[in-house]
Amino acid sequence: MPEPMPEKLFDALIAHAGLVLTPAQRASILNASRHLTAATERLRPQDQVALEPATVFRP
Amino acid sequence: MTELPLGLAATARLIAARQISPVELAESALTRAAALNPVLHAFIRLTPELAREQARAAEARQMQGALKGPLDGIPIGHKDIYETAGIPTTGHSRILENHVPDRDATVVRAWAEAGTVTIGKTATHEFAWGGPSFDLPWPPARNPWDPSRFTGGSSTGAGASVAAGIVLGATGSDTGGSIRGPAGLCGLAGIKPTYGLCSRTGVLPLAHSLDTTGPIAWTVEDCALLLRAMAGHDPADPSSADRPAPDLLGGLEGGVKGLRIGIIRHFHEQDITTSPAVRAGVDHLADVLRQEGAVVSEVTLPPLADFHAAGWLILMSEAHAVHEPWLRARFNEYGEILRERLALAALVTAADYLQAQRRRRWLCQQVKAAMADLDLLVTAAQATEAPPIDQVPKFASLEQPGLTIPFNLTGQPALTVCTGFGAGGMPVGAQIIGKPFEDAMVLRAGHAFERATNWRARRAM
Repeated sequence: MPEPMPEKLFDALIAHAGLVLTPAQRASILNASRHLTAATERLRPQDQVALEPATVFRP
Repeated sequence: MTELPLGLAATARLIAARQISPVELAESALTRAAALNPVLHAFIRLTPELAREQARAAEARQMQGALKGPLDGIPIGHKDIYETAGIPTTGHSRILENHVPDRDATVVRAWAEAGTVTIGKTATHEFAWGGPSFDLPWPPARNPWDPSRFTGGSSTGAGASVAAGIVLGATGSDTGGSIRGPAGLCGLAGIKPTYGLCSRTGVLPLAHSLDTTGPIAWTVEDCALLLRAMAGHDPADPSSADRPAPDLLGGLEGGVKGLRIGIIRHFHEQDITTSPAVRAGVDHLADVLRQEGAVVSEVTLPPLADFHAAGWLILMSEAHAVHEPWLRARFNEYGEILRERLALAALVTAADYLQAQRRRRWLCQQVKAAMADLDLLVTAAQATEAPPIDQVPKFASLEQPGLTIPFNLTGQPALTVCTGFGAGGMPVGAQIIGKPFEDAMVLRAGHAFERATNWRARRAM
């Protein structure tokens, strides 16, 4: 399992979201961020550079 | 305590034959709810006045020989994310504790027009994601097979109320497995229909590109009856497919002879750890379908972890978008579990989300190709029997890939059926998955399995 997200990045993203965490909340969510790291690492890189997302708009 | 007859379809036949009164049926359900809810917490609100009014109307139609169909007079529950006019719809959350909608969700209206009798609003994970939580205005629902155990989520009260025989069917919603999970852990049938088959208008959203409405009931036939009443185009829902609703009952008795079924064995035997009873249940399902005439083979899809990664990044991003204003302004009014899950979701970037949507398209292509020579897929519905309710981790759904979210990503219909019982006498389930808009074939296979086995004879209480 990967490490949690770097703390500076974590704090910046939480601040960007407008959230203020208690130390206990911060510790819990920072620890859980390892699951996000695992997921995002699994999705990069995409093999096909031109692969469209599944949200392409069809008029 | 009055016991309801076995199953919705069986009850409908008794109503049609005037052998049971809708009013007595509603009173029986209300009595049973009053007796069991203090233990199970399946309902966060009972609606006795509405139930009696609807039951009297159904009984009048029964006496006039003018029943609307098999759902007329049937006691049901609605998950408390389905808006109900004049009745609070809270999402099981402090945030919407005083929210009283002025309209019914399209599906609520459709079931009411079919004659159903609403016994109450059922418990859910907070906003269909956060639970089981003990710090909300209402306690979490408990599993009727063992009230110390988890029901699965998020349609917790739907699972508990049907498994306890309080109601004969209930609405659920399924974004990553919230119908199929409770159906599996509570020993029921539950179908996540094809994305776009059923309206979501008036249903509190979790993740728009994954959210699906559907029924939970005792049998597959019951699910088919309920699904028929909720399927169809709704111009008010942008995701609603503008096509005629399929005939969900016409071929139900047709069996599986000649159908080609692929077992995704690596999902439940290699990609994650599952219990022996879960694995035996999938084999049992495949064996029975083979005995009934299906051609069963193994099929390989991309690793479950790929579906898990894409699915949860999409779910979290879309959920964060829904909740962002409340999250900024009312963060500490959420229960601890949803509060922290949503805060985690705030860490997903736009690039992460789009990479997940790109992978989703690729995964859809891979599943479509794998099913080129198959009609159906089967795999497990969940990894284990229901755990103790107080031992479900805060980030449970992220810790091990789930078996249900792949088919939210692909939009395919997926049905859970009860395949037996495992440790502690707790039920286990498996999924039957079809091609988009072939929900009828999924139901046909599930019904064939139930017809050939005796699992529906065992009740929780």
